[in-house]
Amino acid sequence: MGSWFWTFTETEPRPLQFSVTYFSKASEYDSLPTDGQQDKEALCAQSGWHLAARRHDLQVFYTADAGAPPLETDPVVQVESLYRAMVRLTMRPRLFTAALCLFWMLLCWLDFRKNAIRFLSDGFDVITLPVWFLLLAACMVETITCFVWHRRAKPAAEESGLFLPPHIPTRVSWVFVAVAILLLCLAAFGTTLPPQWYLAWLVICFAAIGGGTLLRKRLREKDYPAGINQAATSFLVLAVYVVGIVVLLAVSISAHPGQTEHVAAGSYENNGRTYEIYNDPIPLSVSDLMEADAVYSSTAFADSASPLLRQRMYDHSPNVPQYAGAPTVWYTIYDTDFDFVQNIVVNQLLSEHRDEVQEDGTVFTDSYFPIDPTAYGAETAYQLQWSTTGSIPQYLLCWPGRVVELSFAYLEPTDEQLAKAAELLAP
Amino acid sequence: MPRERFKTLTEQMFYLLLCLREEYRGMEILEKVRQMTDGRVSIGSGTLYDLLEQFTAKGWIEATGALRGRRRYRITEKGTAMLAREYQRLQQQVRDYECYAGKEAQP
Repeated sequence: MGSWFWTFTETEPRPLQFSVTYFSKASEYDSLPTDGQQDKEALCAQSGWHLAARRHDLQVFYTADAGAPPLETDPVVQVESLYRAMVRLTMRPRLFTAALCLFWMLLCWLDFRKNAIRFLSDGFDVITLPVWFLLLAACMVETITCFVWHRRAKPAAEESGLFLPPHIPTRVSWVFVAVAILLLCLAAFGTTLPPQWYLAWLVICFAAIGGGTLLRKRLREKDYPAGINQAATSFLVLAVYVVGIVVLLAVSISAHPGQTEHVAAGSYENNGRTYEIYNDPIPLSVSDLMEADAVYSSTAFADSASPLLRQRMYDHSPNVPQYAGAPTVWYTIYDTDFDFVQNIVVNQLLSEHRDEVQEDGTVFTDSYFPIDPTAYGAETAYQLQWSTTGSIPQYLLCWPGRVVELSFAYLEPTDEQLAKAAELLAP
Repeated sequence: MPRERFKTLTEQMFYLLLCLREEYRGMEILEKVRQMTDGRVSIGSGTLYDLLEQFTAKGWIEATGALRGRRRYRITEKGTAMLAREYQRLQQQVRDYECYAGKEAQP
C-alpha cells in the first residue's frame, strides 16, 4: 500500500479471512515497520494471523485458519484504538488545516473591514473566499464525523458490547475539495492577473508538496526519528512557501500585474521630471462639457473587477505647468449587479468623509449632502460640503447597478454641465 | 451512563490482569485466559496487543525482556489495586442482585 495506490500481487486461490486493524502510534514520518508494529505482527503471527499489508497506521492481516479467533475481540478496546488513530491521523491534521482556513478568512474579514471596495473588486479575493469555506467544510465534515462516531460507538461498545463501524464521508470532502479547485481555476481565468502568476503559484505548491513528500520518504528510509523527520519536512514545506511567496510578490509588485496596459502618447518635462501624456479612451472628458484650450492627458487607471464589483478610475487633466489652472475632471465608476454590494460601496464612499474636530474646538465639516438626483436621471445624488468653503465640486451619483464618484478642479459645473456628465456616465 | 476510560474493566481486561499475577508472554496469556474461563473468554491477538500497550502505559503491568514476541508481562501494584477495586465492584453487584432479585432467581 503506497500513499496513493494499492498494488495487488497474484496468489493461489484459497479461502482466507482478512482483518484490518489500526496502529495509532505509527505515522507517515516513522520508518516502518516500527518496533511496536513488529511486536504486534509477531504476536498476531503466533495466533495464526499474518501480515498482508501495512501503511502507516493501517495493518491488514490474513489467516487461512477458519477457526482462528478474531483479531479484535473487545469492542471497547477496538473503539479506543481506532479513535486514537483517528485523532492522530485524521482529526488533528484537519483541525490544523481548518485553523489555517479560519485564519485566512479572518485576514479576509479584516481586509474587507479596512477597505470593502478594494476587497470586493479584487477578483482573486472574492473568488477564493468560498474556497476557504469549502476547505473548512471538508476538514470539519471528517472531524465532526469522527467525533460523533466516537460519541456513539463508545457507549455502544461499553453497554452492549457492539462495535459500530465508522462511516467517514470522505467522498463528501473530496467533492468540497474538487469544487474548491474549480473555483481556484475560475479565479485564475476571472481576474486580471496574468496566467503566469497562477502558473508560478502552482509551481510553488508542487515544489512544496513534492519536496516535502520526497524529503519525508528519504528521511524515513534512512531511519531518522519521526520527530526529526516531521520537523525537517515541515521546515522545508514552510521555507518553499515563504520563499516562493516572497519572490512572487516581489515580481508582482515590480511588474504591476493586473493594471491596465496603456501606452504613453507623449511626454513633457517639468522641474526636472518627465511626465507622460496618455490618450486613453475615457467616457467623460473636459471637452465634453466645455471648450478647452489646454492640452490634456486622458488616463484610464487600473481596472479591477470581480464577479461582485468592477471599479474603473479615469482622469482628464491638463499638462502642467503650461496649462496649470485649466479645468480638470476625474472620476471612479463602480459597477455591480448586486444591491447589497452597491449599498456597501455607497456607504463606504459616504463614510470616507468625516467631520473633524480642530485644535481650537471648531468642527470641520466634510460630508456628502443629498442633492436632487432627478436632473441626472439618478436614484440618489450627493455633493461634498466643507464647512470652510461650502460646496465642493465633488459628486456621488447612484444609478441602479452603478455608482460614480465625480470630481472637478478649476471648474464649478453648471447644472447643464453636470447633467451632461451624468448622461455620459450613466449605465 | 457510559463508563469512563478504564474506570471499570471489561471482562477481557479483567482476566488479562488476573492472569498476569504470574509472568507470561503474549501467546501464553491468550492460552491462560482461555484456560481460566474454560474457553468462555478468549482475547484476540490484536486486542491483546492494544491492551498490553495501554496497561503498560498506565503502569498497571510491566514488561520484562526486550526480545520481540518474547517479552514477558506481569501485574504491578497499581494494577493489583485496580483489579481489587474491580473485584469489590463486582462483589457489590452480586450483593445487590442477591438483595433485590437473588431469592426469586435462585436455581
